[in-house]
Amino acid sequence: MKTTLYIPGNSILHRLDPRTKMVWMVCAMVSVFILNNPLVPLVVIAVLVTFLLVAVKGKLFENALVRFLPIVILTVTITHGFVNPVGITPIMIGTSPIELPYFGMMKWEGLYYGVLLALRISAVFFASITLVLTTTPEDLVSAIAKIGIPYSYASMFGMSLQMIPIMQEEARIIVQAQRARALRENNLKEKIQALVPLFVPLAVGSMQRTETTAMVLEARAFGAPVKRTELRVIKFNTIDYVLITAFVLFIIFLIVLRVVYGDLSWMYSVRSFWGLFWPVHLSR
Amino acid sequence: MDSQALKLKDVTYWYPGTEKCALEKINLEIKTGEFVGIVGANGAGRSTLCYCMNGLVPHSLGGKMEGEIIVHGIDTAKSTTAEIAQWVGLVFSDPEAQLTQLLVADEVAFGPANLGLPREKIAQLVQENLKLVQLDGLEERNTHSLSGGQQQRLAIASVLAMNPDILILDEPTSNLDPRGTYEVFSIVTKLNRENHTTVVMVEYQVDLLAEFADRILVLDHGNIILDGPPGEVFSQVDKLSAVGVQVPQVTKLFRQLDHEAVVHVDQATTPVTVEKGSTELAKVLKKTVDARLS
Ligand SMILES: Nc1ncnc2c1ncn2[C@@H]1O[C@H](COP(=O)(O)OP(=O)(O)OP(=O)(O)O)[C@@H](O)[C@H]1O
Ligand SMILES: [Mg+2]
Repeated sequence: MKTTLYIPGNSILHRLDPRTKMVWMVCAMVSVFILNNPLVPLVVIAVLVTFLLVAVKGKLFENALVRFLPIVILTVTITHGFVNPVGITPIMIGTSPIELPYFGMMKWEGLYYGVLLALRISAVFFASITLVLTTTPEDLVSAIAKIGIPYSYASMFGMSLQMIPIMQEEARIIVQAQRARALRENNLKEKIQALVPLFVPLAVGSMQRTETTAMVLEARAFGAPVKRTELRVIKFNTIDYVLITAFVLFIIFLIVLRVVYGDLSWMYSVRSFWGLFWPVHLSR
Repeated sequence: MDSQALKLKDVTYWYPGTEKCALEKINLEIKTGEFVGIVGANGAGRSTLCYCMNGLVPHSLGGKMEGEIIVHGIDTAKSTTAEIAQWVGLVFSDPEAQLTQLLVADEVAFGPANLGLPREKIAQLVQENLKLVQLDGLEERNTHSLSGGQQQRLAIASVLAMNPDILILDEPTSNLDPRGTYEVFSIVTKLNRENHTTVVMVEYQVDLLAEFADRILVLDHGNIILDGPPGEVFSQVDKLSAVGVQVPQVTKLFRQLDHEAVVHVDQATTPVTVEKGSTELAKVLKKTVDARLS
């Protein structure tokens, strides 16, 4: 039974201090919002995906969230293309615009904005899964505790991860028991109705279990008035310092660009598909 | 050390929102180094009695408690379960709810880490105790991928790693096969004999309790109705079956033989262990054979 998103391995990403990956995550999030330029998130995504492919190879695409990403990208892009009020220039195929009833015409400016947003979301997404795909849950808990969050909160996070497989197993048992008692789930309506008798025992069961677990924690001296021993040694290595410096320099570079050249957006000059990703009018 | 491990004085306890008490005027003293077995029917209050011994009653469970509980010289009302945990270890009856960590090794290390023991010492405790319950080699396994029996043994190892002076086990063998059950009894007995660990064990395997425990408590509807050495308690077959408690097979056999007038055995001297039973049987047979020959 797979309990977490973690994919085992021994790559650079796996060996990084989890805190470095947290810094990486924050830097990726910040960097893509400094300029209104799709090249920045593209670069960030390229770097992250390269690292991820080295770390977990094709398993990256087995992740359910990764598979879901294209849908998010398409939805965001198309929606903005149609409805974002920045749009002025209609997109023409030959002589006819792309038009939808109620929504009107798709505009180049809206599409640019949609692509930018979708790329930003993707960059933030890849930065986040870099952390969870390549860090063991135990290390994650230790790292969360180490950045100053009280250990009880950090371990609460770890324990809620644990609840997932327990609940899965329990749900499976309940469904089997109910099927054995002729629970009907032939069509979608019945399937949805069947969720109700599943939910109640599942919720009650998990509440009872949480109560017992709380007692177990206390009986194992959790919260005793002594300093807890840290079991995992997490510490920065040279590579961590190098990478953190690189992220910070990247952010500074972007801020300088922003101050000197403005937001570097070419929203109003996009007239072609490739123009969404590259300022064609400038290279002409 | 104090020769009295724990003492309950006139303890009555009501769970929150209940009218009927789960324990009623319990008076109990357990000496350091004793091995006490607790038997009783379902719902007799065995688990509740266990929860009294480390402060979960009344602190975590809420409800209302009357009387006084002294554990390791400390009034539990004035302390916390987490603090009491350095002397009192409790193995719960639900194996899965006892798992607090994702990895087997972390589970065992959890208690000692909370006590602030040095890291090297903890690593050693993890090794020793996993080996003791024969889970060595599974250190990196996910706790939820273990079988019920393995989880139960892991819970025992996790409590033993905290090196308790008083060890309380609530149905620790419910998921184990006969061999696993026997092993738990041997581990516990060894700790009891060699380290003078006080042991309190809720069990339904009366045959094993009769063999290993020094003293048996019988609970019924929140009351201790019998308290004494196994021989004395388990020979009261009628009283025990009236409250839904099994008696050892040997005892049953001898009472039956007595009943059918094959042999005469006094109630008080009815054997409760296989060993005593076979000596007794040998004696009876010899007597019969001798009588025939002469
Ligand atoms: N959380 C609770 N709230 C209210 N009543 C409870 C609670 N837990 C137990 N009881 C009641 O207290 C009584 C004693 O329960 P306890 O769990 O101690 O029994 P037990 O001897 O351990 O039996 P078993 O383990 O078979 O359930 C029972 O009547 C039970 O219904
Ligand atoms: Mg119980």
